[in-house]
Amino acid sequence: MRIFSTLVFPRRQQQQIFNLRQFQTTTILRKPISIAPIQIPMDAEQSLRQSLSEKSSSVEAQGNAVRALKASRAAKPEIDAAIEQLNKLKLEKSAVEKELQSIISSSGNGSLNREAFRKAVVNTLERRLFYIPSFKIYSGVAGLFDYGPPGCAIKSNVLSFWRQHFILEENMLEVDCPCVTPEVVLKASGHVDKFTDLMVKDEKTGTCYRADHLLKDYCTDKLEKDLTISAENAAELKDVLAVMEDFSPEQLGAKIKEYGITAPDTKNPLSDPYPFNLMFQTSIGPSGLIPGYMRPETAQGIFVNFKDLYYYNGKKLPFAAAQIGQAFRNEISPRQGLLRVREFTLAEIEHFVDPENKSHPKFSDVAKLEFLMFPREEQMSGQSAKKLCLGEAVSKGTVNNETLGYFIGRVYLFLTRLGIDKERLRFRQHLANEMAHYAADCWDAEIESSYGWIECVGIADRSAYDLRAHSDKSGVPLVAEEKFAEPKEVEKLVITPVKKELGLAFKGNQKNVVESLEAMNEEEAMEMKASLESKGEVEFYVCTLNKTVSIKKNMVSISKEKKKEHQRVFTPSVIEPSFGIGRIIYCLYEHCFSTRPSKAGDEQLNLFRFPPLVAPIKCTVFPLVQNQQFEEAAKVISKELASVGISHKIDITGTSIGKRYARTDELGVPFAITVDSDASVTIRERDSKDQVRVSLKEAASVVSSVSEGKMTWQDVWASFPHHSSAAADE
Amino acid sequence: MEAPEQSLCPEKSLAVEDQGLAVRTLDDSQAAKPEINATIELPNKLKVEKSAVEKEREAFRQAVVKTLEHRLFFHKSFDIYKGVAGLYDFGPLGRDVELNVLSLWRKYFVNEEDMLEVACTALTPEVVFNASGHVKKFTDLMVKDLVDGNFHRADHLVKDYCENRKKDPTISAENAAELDHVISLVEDLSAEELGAKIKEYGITAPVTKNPLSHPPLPFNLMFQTSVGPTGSSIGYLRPETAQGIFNNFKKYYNENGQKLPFAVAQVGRVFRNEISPRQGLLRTREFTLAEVEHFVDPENKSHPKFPHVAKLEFLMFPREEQEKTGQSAKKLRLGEAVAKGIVNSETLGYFIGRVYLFLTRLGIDKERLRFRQHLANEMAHYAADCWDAEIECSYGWIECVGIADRSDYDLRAHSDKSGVALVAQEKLVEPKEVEKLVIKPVRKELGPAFKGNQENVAEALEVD
Repeated sequence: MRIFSTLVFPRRQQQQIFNLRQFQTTTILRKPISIAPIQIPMDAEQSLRQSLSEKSSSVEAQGNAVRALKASRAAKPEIDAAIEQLNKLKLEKSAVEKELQSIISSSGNGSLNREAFRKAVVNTLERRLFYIPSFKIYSGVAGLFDYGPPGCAIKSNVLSFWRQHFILEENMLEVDCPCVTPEVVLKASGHVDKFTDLMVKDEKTGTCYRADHLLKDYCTDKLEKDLTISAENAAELKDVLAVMEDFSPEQLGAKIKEYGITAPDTKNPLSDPYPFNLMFQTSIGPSGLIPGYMRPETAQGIFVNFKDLYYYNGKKLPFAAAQIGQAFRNEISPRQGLLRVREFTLAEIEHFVDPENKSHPKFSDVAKLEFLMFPREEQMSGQSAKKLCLGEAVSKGTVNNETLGYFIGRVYLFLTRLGIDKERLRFRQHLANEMAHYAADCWDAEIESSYGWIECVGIADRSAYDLRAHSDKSGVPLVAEEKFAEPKEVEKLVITPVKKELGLAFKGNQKNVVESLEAMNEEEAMEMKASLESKGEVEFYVCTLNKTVSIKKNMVSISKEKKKEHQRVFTPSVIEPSFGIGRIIYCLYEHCFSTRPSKAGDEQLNLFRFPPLVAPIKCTVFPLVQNQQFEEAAKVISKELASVGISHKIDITGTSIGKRYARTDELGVPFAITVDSDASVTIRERDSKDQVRVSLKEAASVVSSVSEGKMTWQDVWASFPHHSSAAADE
Repeated sequence: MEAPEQSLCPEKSLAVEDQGLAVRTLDDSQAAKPEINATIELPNKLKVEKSAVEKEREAFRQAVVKTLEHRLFFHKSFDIYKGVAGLYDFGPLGRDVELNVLSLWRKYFVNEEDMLEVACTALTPEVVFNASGHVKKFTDLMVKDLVDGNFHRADHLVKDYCENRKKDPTISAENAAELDHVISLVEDLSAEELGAKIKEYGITAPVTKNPLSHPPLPFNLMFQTSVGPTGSSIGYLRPETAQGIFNNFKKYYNENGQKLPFAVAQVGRVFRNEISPRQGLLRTREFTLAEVEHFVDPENKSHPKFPHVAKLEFLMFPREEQEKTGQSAKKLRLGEAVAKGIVNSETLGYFIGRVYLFLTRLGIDKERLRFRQHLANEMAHYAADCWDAEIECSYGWIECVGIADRSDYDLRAHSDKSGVALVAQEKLVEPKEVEKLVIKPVRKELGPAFKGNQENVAEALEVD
């Protein structure tokens, strides 16, 4: 077997500045996402900038000196010497410039290679209808794409493998909820209030932009192209890039003003940033009174059904529900092709687990896996992702719990089986400021593409947040029960606010005070009890009023009581792996794409090295020349392939066999059967272009076993006579 | 549940139902369904009472639905928030069944026929549905309960009224005939005509008996939204998947090596903002459609695989039979139906046969499956022929698959609107000499004669 040719575009060592905005599937509410702090080798770059600015001043000083000499009509040798010195300094300056430029472009986005590579991939994808911009005859709509036949087939292969790998393997409950969702559901989840991006408007044309994108573009542009900025300025810009996703509208607005950022293209002034909700809104029914939204994720449909699913599962935890479906986000200005679109397929798992026991019986199956992980601490200290053993990461507490760790391992297996390059896949932990306050731990599977590291799967321990939110809003308790084998004696904290006294003291605020008192945890309550007993009065902060009130001894009674309990009622935690299917597929396209010279060497031919598992078509069948005998044989093979469910195409066009191979290579078809006699055929493997000769009868079954992974091409290569046909290929 | 009245004799009944959920085309939705039932003896009461058969059906349905909901095959969506009419979730078993149905569908149609399967977006810009006619015509007429503000479909109210009224044995023969007539026309009535009927019959809101708004108003059934942040570009959620395919015709045609015929298939979510959804899973606001668009040379609609289905025999209900009173669907041999011209073309006939095989393979009872041809007034003017696969259930005969020869209407509509020619070419082996009609309006003369109307006159003259 030949080794795959290396990918066309250079692998980057450094982490990327141009990271995407957080992929919001998982970080729902999701606001946060800062990219991991930038880890360009600060020192080298900084000292170069420093020295560049020193050189610049020396050049300037020397230039002034020369001018002064000339003005004072100094002697020619003196002037010449000064000029020589100036030239020397200029040379030094440009050397430093070059060095700085090269450092910046190797760590930044700037590689032209990368864009050329992307163009080649996207061209091929669109030409072969893997995907195309939607409604093109009407000049299209940004952020909407159609999947053509090969894209559609790949997507269905990816989804069917997803079902097998997650749903069947883990016995999950697959459900299917509507996209149209009434407002109340998304109010409870927080989307109506918080699922926003900050937007600015071109004050003259009214065109809208994402405020953070403009700021990011400004900073990266400055860092990459302006060599004259001082080291301190550069450091500040990098700092802004790292924290801007956390900026408030005011902070973002201030930066935009400070840097004098204007609208792209028009250079018009911009409005202040304001939040724009990313959900598509509509109205349900004819009255116009029931607002609805297109779901921005599938998870909420599962949460609101928790109770039913829990009963269906025989009231046992843990269990997982899964859903594959369309989700919709009204992006302000979609860019980056398939990576940021307005309608996309999500595959989400909600694994419900007892918060007190997040162990996983199958964790040992994945504990030995080793792959690139990028824990919080490494990100903070400017290191890069490194290979860690998953078992160790969990036992050391780097990964919060076994269940989370188990899913990380399963996601790794899933993605690499699809054909994602494991060297360009890493699991990055969210930084503390990226996570919602309720989340216990979050890891993103990030895949490197020509756009940088892209979040494709989010794996989050969201604790009890979502179920609680819907319990509160709907009044239906979404809880689980654990029956004790024997009743347990438990000590229970009992907080009884004395409404009469509280009413007198706080009037209209009584309710807030009562709620805050009741919400105290054990520690707080016991502390209050002690204070009340010793001092008779205590200062108490009521968060819903945002002020401190004085609580007297007669206003609340706090005690611990012993109770016999037969069961424990609790809100389960949710561990949520959430997959952006379109993103995974796009990254897969990039990882599988390569080119190789045609036989004549006069052109570069494209190919997609998809594993058979995802390849849109597993096999093509070619009669070598147009003749009835070969065509009949081809039809027989085709029928056999159909009967074993192997997707294939017959190509009976008279074009040269080389052209036909090139055409199927470009679709990523892994095998080709060429009928060149009435007794036997050749089978060609796409990547190696190796061919074996197989009898007509066996052809379909060999292709079927190697497509379905029951045997490898090496096995085939070892068991059948090799066929070398100089003429046939290319 | 607000179940519409049923025809009482299952074997003979013909649904005067709403169109089946899935496949309504624009013009279908306005079209009439015939009413050919023999009259049935009814309790001698003016007040509507449910017959024993109806009661039995309802009990049966309740048992089915209860089991389905209990085992989470499906249930109301967002139930903890009291739900939303017309939205349902599929639970694990329902989802499994759906996936199995879709995978058999793929096998039967996409794989077997070598179709191109594609996936287009549900979000669609307004211009597309302007071209297809949905923005203007994809409407139902509604009236409002003037007291509680609830909306009702005007045609449903009139139809329900007529059907109930008919059960009164004391009404005269002429009256009964008129009611039948109204029922058969009700979906074709204009807003004014429907309004007049409501007034004439003194129809009030169901349950509340409150007065209704007048006249009925058209309500567009597409969910509207706004694409992008400016609020200025209107978008809709597609009510069918077909338009995405028509839009991309040129690309698919090229991908297919510029050869006809070929078919493009799509399975996907569609959305219809029903005025008052009823009948459970049969009329929902969001559902899955699986559509095939088979593109064929209008001059050659033969199908090479037609012999594979020509011998099939099943219940068919051609237009002519429906127009005679007292007729019902009959077993016909498909080959004969095509040969006699009852079914318009081999290709249409082939798909009817494949649909029959698909449905019966799924487990649909072949005695309760029929193919009903659209009446002339049900079809759009451009359609060559339409057959619905109707399946009988406790709600009556339900349209589940529509098989229509839509001629070139859709591609033309998008060609005209977009200015991109959605056409195919047949290279002739030898150049052919043809006689071509050439119409050249003389602008110079037309101008002075018609002034501002010149354009219209010129266009009308040029139309061939």
